[in-house]
Amino acid sequence: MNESEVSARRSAIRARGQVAFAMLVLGMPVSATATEPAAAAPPVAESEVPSAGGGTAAIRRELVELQAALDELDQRGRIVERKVELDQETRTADAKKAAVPVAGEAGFVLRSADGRFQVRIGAVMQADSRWLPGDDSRKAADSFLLRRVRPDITGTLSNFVNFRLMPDFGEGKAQLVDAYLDVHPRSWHRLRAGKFKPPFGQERLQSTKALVFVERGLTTNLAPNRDVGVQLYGELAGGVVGWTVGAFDGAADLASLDGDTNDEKDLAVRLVVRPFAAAESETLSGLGIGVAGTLGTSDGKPEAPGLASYKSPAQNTVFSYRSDTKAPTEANTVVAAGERRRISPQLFWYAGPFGLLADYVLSTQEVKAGTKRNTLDHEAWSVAASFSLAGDKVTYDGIRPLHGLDSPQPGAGAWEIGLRYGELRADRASFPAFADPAKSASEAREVGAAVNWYPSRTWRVGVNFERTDFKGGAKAGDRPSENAVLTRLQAAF
Amino acid sequence: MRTLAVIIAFALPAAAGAAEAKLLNVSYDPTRELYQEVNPAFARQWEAKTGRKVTFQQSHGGSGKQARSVIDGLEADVVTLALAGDVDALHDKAGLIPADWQKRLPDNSSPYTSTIVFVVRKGNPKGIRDWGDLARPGVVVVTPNPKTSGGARWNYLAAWAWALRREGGTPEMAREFVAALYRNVPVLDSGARGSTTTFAQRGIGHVLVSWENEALLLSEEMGPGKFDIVCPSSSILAEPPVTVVDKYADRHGTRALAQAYLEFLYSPEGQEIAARHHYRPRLEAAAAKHAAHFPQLKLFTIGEVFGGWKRAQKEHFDDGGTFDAIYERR
Repeated sequence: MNESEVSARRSAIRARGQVAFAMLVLGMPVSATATEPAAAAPPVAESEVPSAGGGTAAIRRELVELQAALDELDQRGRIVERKVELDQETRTADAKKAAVPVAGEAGFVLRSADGRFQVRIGAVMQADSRWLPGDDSRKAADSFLLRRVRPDITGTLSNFVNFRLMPDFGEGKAQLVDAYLDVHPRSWHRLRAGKFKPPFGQERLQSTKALVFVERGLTTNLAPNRDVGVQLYGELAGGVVGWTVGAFDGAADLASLDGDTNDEKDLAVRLVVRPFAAAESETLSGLGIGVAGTLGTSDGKPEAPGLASYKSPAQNTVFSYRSDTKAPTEANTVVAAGERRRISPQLFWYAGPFGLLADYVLSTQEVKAGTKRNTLDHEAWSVAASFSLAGDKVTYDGIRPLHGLDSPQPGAGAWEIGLRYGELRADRASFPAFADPAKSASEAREVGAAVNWYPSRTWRVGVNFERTDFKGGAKAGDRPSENAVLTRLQAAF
Repeated sequence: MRTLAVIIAFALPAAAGAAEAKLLNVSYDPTRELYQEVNPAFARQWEAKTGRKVTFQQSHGGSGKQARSVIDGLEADVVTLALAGDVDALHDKAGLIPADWQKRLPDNSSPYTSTIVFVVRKGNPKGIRDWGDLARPGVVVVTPNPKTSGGARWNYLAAWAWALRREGGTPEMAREFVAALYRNVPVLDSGARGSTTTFAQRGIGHVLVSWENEALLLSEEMGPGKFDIVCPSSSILAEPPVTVVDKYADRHGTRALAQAYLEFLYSPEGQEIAARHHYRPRLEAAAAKHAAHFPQLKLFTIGEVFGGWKRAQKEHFDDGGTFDAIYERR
C-alpha cells in the first residue's frame, strides 16, 4: 500500500468513526453530573437507530474492528517509513563505495570512496629550444625539440602499495623511464622495486618538473640515470634522517638500464640529515646535508662498453672514451672492466624564496682497452642558487606560485632567477690511451643563469644562458667555449 | 653483492612488530557488546603476557555482507561470523584461509553457541506459541534478509526444519510453510541488529525471530514490561564460528596475536564474558554456572537436518535457490 492509499484509507476510517461515535451517543444515557443540557444530536435516519440491547454490542464490535483497522494502518505506515529508512541506508552505503573522480593541478584522479585505492594520470611535456650563438663548428644544430613527453600514471592499492608507470616519447623515442612498486607499511621503512632513479645524484633525484635550469649540471654526468633493482628507504626521527639502501643491476654514469649482462650487482646507499627539521625557524629547517655512494662491478663488451660520454649543459659531448661504433673490437673500444665506485657529499638549503643545491661527485671506474688497464677517477662539483622574486617559496620540489593566473586571487605568477657554477674533471690518466685528447676535454667549467616564469602551478616558461669553458678537447689547445641559450615551455600536472 | 641484494629485497624489518599491534575483527551484526568487553579483557592479558599493547578495530554487519567485504579486500585479521558457510566463502572465493579452517580450533571453531527464539509484544497479544503461528494470516513477522544476514539463515532453516520434522512433514510442506511465513514479513533488514531495531524501536511487527542472545539482550536493555520471549517447541543449534584470516594476518604480521585472541574466547574468562552476553558457553564449568539463564530447548544441528552448511547454502540461499523462488513469488 503506498502513501496515497494509506491516506485514503485513513479518511474512510475517520468517516466510519464519526458515524460510530454518533451511534454511541444516541445509545448511551445522559451523565448524572451533567449541568448543561446535551447539545442536540444531528438527525439520524430511522433505519439507523439501533434497537435497544443489541445496539451497544454492535457499536463495541465496530469499535474493536475500528481499533484493529487503525492498528493495521499504523503498522503499514511504520513499515513504509522503515522501508524508506532502509533504502536511504542502502543508498548511503552505496555512495560510500562509489569511486570519486577528481581533476585538478595534481592531474586526473580516480579514487575509491574510502581513499584506499586511487589512480592518477599526470604528464610532463617540455618543448625546448637550443641555440648556440657564434658557433659554426659544432655538429649539434640549433634546434627546437620535444625534450620530454611523459605520461605519468601513479596509483595506490589498499593504502599500502603505490605504483608508477612513466614512459617517455620525447625526442622521437619511446622508452620506459620509471616502472616500480612501492610498499609502505610504515613511514620509517618502505620497499621499492622496479626501474627508478638509484639513490645517488642529488640533482638527478630532483624531479624534472622542479629543475631550475633547463638541463642538469655537470655533476649529474657522474651519476646513474635509471636502474633496475630494489631499495629500502624511509625517514626517522620525524624526518630529521632520511635513509636509503638499494641493490641494482648497475647502471653506468648517465645510463638508464633495463637489465643486466652480468651477475654482479651494485649497492647504493644514501643518508640525508636535516638537523633542524623540527625547528620553528623556516630558515634553518630547510637545511640538509647528505652523502651517497655506490659500489659495484661493471664488465663491458665492445658492443656495449658500459661507459658514459659526458655532456655539457647544452647536451654536447665534452668527454668520451675511445670507441669504434662501426667495428668495435677490444683493441679499439674502451670498456668497463671491474670495480666502479662513486661517492657524493651533498648539501641543500631551502629558506623561503631562496634555494641552494651543492654537490661533489667522485666516480672511479676500472677500464681496459686491449691490453691496457687502468682505474680512472673522474670528479665534478656544482653549486646552484635560486631566488623567487615575488616571495614565493622555493623548494626541492619546485615553486608553487601563490598568485598564479588561475589562482583564486589571481596575480602575475612567480618569477625565479637562478645561478649555477660547476666543474667536471676527467682523470688525466684517461689520455691518450682511453680518450682522444683532440676530441675529449680534460676539464669543463660551466656558468649558468636562469630566468623562470610560473604563470600557474601547471606550466612554466624558462630561459637559460649557459657558458662552458674547456681545457683540451681540440687538436690544438683548448676547445672553444660554448655559449648556449636554452628555452623551455613546460606543462606538468 | 647478489646475496646482499636478496637480503635487501626481502628484508622487511622484523622490528615492525615492535610498534603497537592492531587487530581487525570483522564480525556479524549482534556481537558489538560482546567484543566491547572481550577486546579490553584480551588486551590486558596480552600486555601482561608479552609486554605489548594491542588495539582493536571492529566491523559489524550482516554475516554474509561481512564475508563479502573481506573477500573484496577488507583486510580482517580474524573473522567471527554467524555461520560456517560464510567463513567457507573466504576459502572458496578468495583463498584467504585453508579448506580445513574449522579444525584449527575446538568445537568446530565455535567458542559459543546460540539458538533462535521469538520476541513478542508484552502479553503476547497474537498468541504466538510455536513456528506454525508465524504463518497465520494477520501476524506480522520481523526477520532479516537471508541473502545478507547469517541470523536470518538460521531463522529460515529453523522454520524449515520445524515444518519438515512435524508428523507427516515433507519438503514440499516445509517449503509451503516457509513461503507462508515470508508472506508475513514486510521488511527485510540486512542484519539481525537491524531487525531488532525494526521491531523494538520502530514498533513494527508482532513477533521478532531472533538470536537467543539478541532476545535476552533486548529484554535486558528495554527492561521488563515491553516484550516477552517465547521459546518454540524446537529450534536450531546455531554455532557461530571464528577463524584467523591467514592471508591478511600473515601480511600484517599478526598471526600469533590473532590466534591468541581467538583462543581467549575459549578460556574461562572468555567463556564467562560470552555467557554474560547471553551466548551459551562451551566450557562445561561456565555452562553449568549459567544453565538457569538459558531456557531448555529441543535443539537440532544443521548437520542432522540439512547435511551441513555447504548443502544448505547451495540449496536454499545461493542465487536461484529456494529462498529466491519463495520471495519472488510473494
